[in-house]
Amino acid sequence: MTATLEEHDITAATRHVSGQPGSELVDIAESEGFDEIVLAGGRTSPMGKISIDKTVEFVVLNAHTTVTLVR
Amino acid sequence: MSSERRYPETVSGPFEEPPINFDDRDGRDIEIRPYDRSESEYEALAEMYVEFDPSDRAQGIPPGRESRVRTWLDGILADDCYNLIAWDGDTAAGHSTLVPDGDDDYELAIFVLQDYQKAGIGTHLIESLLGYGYNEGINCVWLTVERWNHAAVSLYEKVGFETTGAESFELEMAIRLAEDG
Repeated sequence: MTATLEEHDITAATRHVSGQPGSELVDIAESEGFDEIVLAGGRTSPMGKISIDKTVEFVVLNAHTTVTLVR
Repeated sequence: MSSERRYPETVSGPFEEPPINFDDRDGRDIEIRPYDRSESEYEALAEMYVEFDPSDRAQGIPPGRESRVRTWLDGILADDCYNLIAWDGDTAAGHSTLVPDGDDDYELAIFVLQDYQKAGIGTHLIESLLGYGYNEGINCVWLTVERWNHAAVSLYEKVGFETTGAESFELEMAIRLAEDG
């Protein structure tokens, strides 16, 4: 993650969350006043089908902020 | 994908094996046979997908633009995949495919052109693909389907697929064609 950020020359804080990542993300966004959550928006199967994993689904359905899924 | 995928213990089948010939419910003479890797069959399939109704797309496939259709077809028509085409004369009316996922099991998908839907072609496409896969030594096949697509889920259940994952937007379903080993 940090390596990816450096590669693209982006300065950003990273933080590890434990437990249920979806509800942790929603909690953090709410309690710390974030205004948007940006997530990797799905995996692609060998067939080329896109699926949304449980973490993404939880965040999309439960976040009070705007959620952006990046392909 | 994950090698922890669950499969039913019960073996399904036997299934019909391609090539098969039948009259569909609208009286059209349909033949299902393995893709022969010719340019003409490739072009007929590309044409089918370019004509595909965008509202029938599922989970991003088939892709919308012709260039993307061709890139996608190049992947699923590769040498290590198994493909059947349903023909109405020279028109590709449907297509079913098995794509390896790197864990000795295969992902299945099936597509029927809008004018040919609800005519029994999908059932034959999937059953003969499972028969084809069994003959080629494939033990386990899985797929994902949008949970609101009741027609597709019923078809998959009818041939023996069981729901193995339901925690997400998509249902994951799997079928066993043979015992492991």
